[in-house]
Amino acid sequence: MSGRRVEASPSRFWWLRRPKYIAILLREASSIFILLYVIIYLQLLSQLAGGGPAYQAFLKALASPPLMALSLVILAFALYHSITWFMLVPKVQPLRVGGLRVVGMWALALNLLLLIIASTLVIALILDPSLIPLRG
Amino acid sequence: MGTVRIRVKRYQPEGGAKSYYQEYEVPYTRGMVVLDALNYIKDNLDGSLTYRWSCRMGICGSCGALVNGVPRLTCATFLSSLRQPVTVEPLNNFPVIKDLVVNIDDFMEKLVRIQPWIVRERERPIEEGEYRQTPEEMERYHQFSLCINCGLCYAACPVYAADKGFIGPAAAALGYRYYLDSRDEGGSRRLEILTEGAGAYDCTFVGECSAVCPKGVDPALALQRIKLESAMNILSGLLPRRVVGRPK
Amino acid sequence: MPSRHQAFEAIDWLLFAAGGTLSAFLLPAHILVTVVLAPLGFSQAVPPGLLGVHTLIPPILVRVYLFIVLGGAAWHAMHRIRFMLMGLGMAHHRSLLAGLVILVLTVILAIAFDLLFLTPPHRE
Repeated sequence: MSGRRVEASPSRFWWLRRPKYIAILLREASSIFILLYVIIYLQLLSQLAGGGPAYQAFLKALASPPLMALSLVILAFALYHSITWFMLVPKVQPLRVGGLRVVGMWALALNLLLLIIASTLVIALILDPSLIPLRG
Repeated sequence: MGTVRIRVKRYQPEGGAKSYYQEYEVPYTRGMVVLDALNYIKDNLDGSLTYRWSCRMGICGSCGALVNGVPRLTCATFLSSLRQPVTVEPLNNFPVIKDLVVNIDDFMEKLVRIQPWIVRERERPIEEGEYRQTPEEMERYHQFSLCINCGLCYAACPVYAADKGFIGPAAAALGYRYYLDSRDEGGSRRLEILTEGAGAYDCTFVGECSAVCPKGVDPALALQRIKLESAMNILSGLLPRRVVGRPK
Repeated sequence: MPSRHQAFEAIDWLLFAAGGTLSAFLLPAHILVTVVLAPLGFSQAVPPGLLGVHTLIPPILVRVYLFIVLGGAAWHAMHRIRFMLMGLGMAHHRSLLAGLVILVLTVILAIAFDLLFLTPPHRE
């Protein structure tokens, strides 16, 4: 029995035109923006090492409309990563609270709650205590 | 009684190498599935239409096709749930032999490659009796044993689309079924077979394989757990201390 | 015996999973504070611990934390980028892609290590 390929290899990318798969592609593409953030942050640290004026200039550049827009896009993709991650992981390793298995929407809600708690703690303890003062 | 429009992708190797779409009008009765429409076409309108089917009740796995762009069993897809014209195409990712018939040799090769049988270090002689298994032990792998080898999962997988060397959902789920079977002693050797080359680690957890499975198998879960078990296995081999969590 | 390829994929995947989890829980807050609020004047872009200011968390731990978060995020991102490229047509160049990813990660981690542990803290 022989099979002959009908279409040339571009049919390999049939999935690029289906909405479900595009959502997945966006999920994977969020990694590009996360990488961008790492690079921007390292640049920030490097400017900091260079001294006050260089650092201030870089911060000012970050406030410009195009870079601020990029930052917001990065933030949006980071949140998209978080949400999709919280939907994926419980499918593989079910969460357990007490003796109960937490699934589906409940797992997502629990993880989002943990995200809020973790964010609060990381801001208060490390990133900028003045934003969320922990005592008084 | 109305009619329903069925649009089928045709391809005849002897008629030149171009595929084309042909539309048919099929009388509709309540409860009709896509396979019924294909059979009507072949019996009454166009005897040259070529497609696979057998049990017509969702257990043999023969009748897989793309129905309105989604891998489905034609015997299990009701016309009433579909937008017209109902487009029927051969499954993605497989070479087309004729019309809706695809070559699944690669799929079959992979099923065999993962050694879908109980592997023992030492076979017990018959006098020692059968290998016993509790209901709980059976439950661990039961879901993964339900595969009917229909190939819909391979048609849905974008990783397989890009790389035909990818081990794929069904083979991984089947391998995992034996890995989880308490009677099996394949252990970490099975994990190696499942992760070598373009193995389980190539899966990017799209999840469409599990979404299209008509029997409720979750190959995506199998693939992620293979990655996890294999990684923990390799890690425990690299580190001096024992890592908890070995399955048996 | 796992092959080198399998050992590499296993370690890469574990770090991808760890980095993905860290990124999922921590990156949104980092991004919000560092590149959204800070340029607009509402917050500090750099954790005070990096400037030598002693907070609840000792400065050295702040540096370690940042290295883990940035390193994890970078590893996670590079893993996904590698598999995206494989899915978009480069499936037969896995060694090349793996090499590229290792190269990029080495550079990023080296720069991060240098900036966080080898550069003296800036004093106003």
